[in-house]
Amino acid sequence: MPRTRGLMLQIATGDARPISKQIVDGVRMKIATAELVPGDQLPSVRGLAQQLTINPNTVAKAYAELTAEGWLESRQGLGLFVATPRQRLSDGERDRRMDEAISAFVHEVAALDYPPERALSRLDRALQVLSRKTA
Amino acid sequence: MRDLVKAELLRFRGWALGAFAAHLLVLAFLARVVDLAQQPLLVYRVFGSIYVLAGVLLGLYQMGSYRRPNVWLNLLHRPLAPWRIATSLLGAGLAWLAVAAALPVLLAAAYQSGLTARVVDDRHWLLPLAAWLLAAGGYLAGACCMLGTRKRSAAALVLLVAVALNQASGVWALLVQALALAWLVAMLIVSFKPDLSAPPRAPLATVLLALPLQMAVYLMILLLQFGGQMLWIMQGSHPNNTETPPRGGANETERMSPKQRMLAGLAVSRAAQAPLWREQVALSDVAGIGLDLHAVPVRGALTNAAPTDFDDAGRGVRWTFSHDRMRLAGYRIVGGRAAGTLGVGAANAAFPAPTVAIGGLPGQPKGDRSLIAGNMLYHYVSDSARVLPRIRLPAGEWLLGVTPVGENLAVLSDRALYFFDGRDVVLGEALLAPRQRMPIPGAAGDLRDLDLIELVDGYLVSASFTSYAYMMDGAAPYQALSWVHDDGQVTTVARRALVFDYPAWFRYQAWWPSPALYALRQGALGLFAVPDPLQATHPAPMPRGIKLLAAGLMLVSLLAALWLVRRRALSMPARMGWVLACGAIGLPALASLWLLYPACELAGRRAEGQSALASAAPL
Amino acid sequence: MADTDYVIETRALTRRYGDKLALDTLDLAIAAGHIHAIVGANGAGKSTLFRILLGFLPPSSGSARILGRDSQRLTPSDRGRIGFVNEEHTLPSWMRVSAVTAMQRHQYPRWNQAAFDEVIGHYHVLPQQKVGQLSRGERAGFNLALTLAQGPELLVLDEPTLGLDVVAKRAFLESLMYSSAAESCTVVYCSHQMEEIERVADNLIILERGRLAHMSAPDEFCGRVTHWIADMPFAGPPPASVPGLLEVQRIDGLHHYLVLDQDEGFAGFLRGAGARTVQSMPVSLDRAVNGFLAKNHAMPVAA
Repeated sequence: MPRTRGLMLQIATGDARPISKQIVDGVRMKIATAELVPGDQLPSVRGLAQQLTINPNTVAKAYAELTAEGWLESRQGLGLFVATPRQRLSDGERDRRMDEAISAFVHEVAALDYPPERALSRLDRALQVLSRKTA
Repeated sequence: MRDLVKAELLRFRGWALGAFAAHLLVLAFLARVVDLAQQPLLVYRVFGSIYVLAGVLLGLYQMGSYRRPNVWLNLLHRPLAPWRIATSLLGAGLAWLAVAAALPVLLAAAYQSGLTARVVDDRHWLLPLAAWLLAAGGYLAGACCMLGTRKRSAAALVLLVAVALNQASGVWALLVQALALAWLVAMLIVSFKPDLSAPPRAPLATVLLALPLQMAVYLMILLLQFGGQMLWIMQGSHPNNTETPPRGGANETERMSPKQRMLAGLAVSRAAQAPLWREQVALSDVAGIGLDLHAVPVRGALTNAAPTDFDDAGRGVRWTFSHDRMRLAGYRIVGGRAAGTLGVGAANAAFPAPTVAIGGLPGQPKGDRSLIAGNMLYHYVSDSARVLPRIRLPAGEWLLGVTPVGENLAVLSDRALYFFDGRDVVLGEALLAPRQRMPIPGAAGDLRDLDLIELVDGYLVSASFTSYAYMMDGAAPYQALSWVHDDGQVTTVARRALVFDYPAWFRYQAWWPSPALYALRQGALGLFAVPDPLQATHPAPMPRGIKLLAAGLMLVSLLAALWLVRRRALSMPARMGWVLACGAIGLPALASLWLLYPACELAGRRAEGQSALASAAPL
Repeated sequence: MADTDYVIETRALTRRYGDKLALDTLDLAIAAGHIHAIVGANGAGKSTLFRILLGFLPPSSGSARILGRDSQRLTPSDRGRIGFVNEEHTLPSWMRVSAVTAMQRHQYPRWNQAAFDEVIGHYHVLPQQKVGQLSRGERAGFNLALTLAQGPELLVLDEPTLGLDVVAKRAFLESLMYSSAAESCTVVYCSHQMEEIERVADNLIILERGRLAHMSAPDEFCGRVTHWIADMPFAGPPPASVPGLLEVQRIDGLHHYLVLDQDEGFAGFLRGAGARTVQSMPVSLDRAVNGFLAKNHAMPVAA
């Protein structure tokens, strides 16, 4: 029996990201950090809207985007569930995005005048949240 | 709808009950002290004004509180037709006015009727209705003032002015008030719509709003003229307050002493005896003939034009004339117990008209009184508590006053002057026979001064007709001298034409601004009224210049309307209607057209013109 | 005619007050369904628009239709289909809550008691209380409950949360968004509070000086506005030459540009104007709308 997980999401108005984008980002992060695992049921559109005091259409939009990207799957008549992970992007695209992320990171670190070894160890620790999921 | 009425009733509950209590308290106090049914006209006027004022305030407050844009929107934006909302609000207001204004009056009347021996006639039972109608009229006028644009909505007050000045009495007066009320209700309902600034669309609605507005403009013109007259008086050259009045004018004659007046009249007399009479005038006292009645009492009138009661101190009885019984009803001054009714003669017959008590005739016992009733004069004998007819004038004449002249009596009616032998008054109790009758050489309303001297062989009577010489109602002023012979023959011995003190434009200032509205005003004031014999005049013929002036103004207003209607958003029939109305009614109609229709179309044209210029500029 | 597709439709709607134009040939069509937010600076003509739409003010020219009906000829039953809530929440203060409710229940044929109970449940409003004794927030909630229970097809809200505290505001928004009665009606929501609009609106309508300046989903509008920071040694290019300029400020020697509808090409423009470094970032809805509305206001010239 799938269980509905409470979705501990924060949204902020006045942010440069629209609310639906904030929800998408938040859910992705929860899945990445294994706070949400495949098979978990997400709150209903109405329920999440009510929880966040936002227009239900905004939640629906965010859910639609997550479903399209393969993070969530809809089961007829039951609701939305975290999907089993699968390769969502092509290898080339994956590499391109990784390059982008690394380059952005390196630029920031360079500006901080931070020793690369310390930066690496900090990054290593930060990435452990991801390895926990695969463990 | 019922909910709205209930809500509105609830809203004013406190105020209405408070007003009811205060009103009742005042009436209860007054009823203990005086006979509320027999007060002079002024008292009823004061009470009436308070009712009207209270109504106006309620109307202003109620509609004022709803008029704010947001509240108005909230009130009218609901699935109810505006007229239903209006009638709900008005229904509640009118109901509370019935409680606050009419109910205490009804209770006071019930108290006087049930618990005292005072006279309460049918007419008094109409007073609560009158109180309610007045308060309701004020209320609706106040409400109308709050709806519509400020400049034009105060016109509703004109209907209150009409009610205040209308001459009808009794039930007829109530009918006039009810008509004014109905008009106000109709005005309010056509004004009660979401867009308060919008001019009326339907022809009937336009007439309902435009006519009072035109009347209000007309009234403003009269008030401006009055203000101008005040300035004239302040400036000091007004004929009424110059040191020496215009020579040969009506004002000069009015300011003369009776003796001077008589001499002035004799100066133009061609009669052979004129020089002799001049000497006699210089030597003898000139008697002025006065009036005991200044208005004729009407049976069933709600208020009393003249006092209806008198005290017989000797018997300790107060006699009050009852319109229902047409007899005097008495009660003890001390204690208030009833003391029976008193009619004419041994048969206790009814009086022919409402009576007014005046002083006793010369030679009669001190406690006796004279009673004037229509064409009759009665003698109230205190000693026997009897009423005896003493003078009977021809039917249809109104006996207005009795003045002792030497040993004789001069009795004035609205048509003639009668002389009676004073000795007969005390010699018997029979009807007196007139020795001479002199028809008044003019109209009663024009007659301002009536003076006479006794001659060896009769009387020399001077009558000057100057009362309304300052306005269009009055006769061209003149003075007439008549010689009344002992044998009853009457000869006119002089007629002195007087000069108008005021120029024609001044005398006809109520007429030329709008002959149509002047006629409407006269019609409205005389609606359902019995003409007052004391106000009858022989108007002087209208000068041609005045007619031309009025026609000129009507033409100007017609031309101005032609220009104005093209700058207002009006349909073709409406334009034609307005142009015709402006031509027929004159400037007030033009002003009402200006006030009723906002000039937004004009602004639009100007803006379009500007943009056309702007777009043309780059070329 | 597709009148029925639009709950509100104006054509060249113009309203003049003397020489001032409150609405300037406004063409606005609001589709049925969803929550539409109308924003605009004070004097943009929002209140005038609502007053015309409800037939309380005649247009100087042009036409306005609401629920397919000429707004100057609304019948009582049309009025029953349009709910209106203003910022004052004008209700008769001398009446009890129960009496007001009863009155509305009798007047509105489609009265939905369940919807009323559902919304009023959010507030501590007792039936025997006088309306005048309610707090502003309670009055707002009561007003919304009354309006939603009328079962309107169109609900117009004119700054309904003005002057409400955080708690009351939240309760109001919740009642509006999650009430079953609100689901079936089109909502037109006028507000100055971007935070609310971000949460509530499906569609953003910006009025400016009586004209329609923009209409789209809020994030779409957000995407049109970008914030650029350029390091320029001298005075920047004259403001008139900056494409899509909404706002320019010079802070600590850096030029901040808020621009509309500019892609990466704008970086080229800035470099061409002598910028040594150029950065860009998206902006929040609040910033985007304020910048957009401030466009025509006087701004300090970059010194």
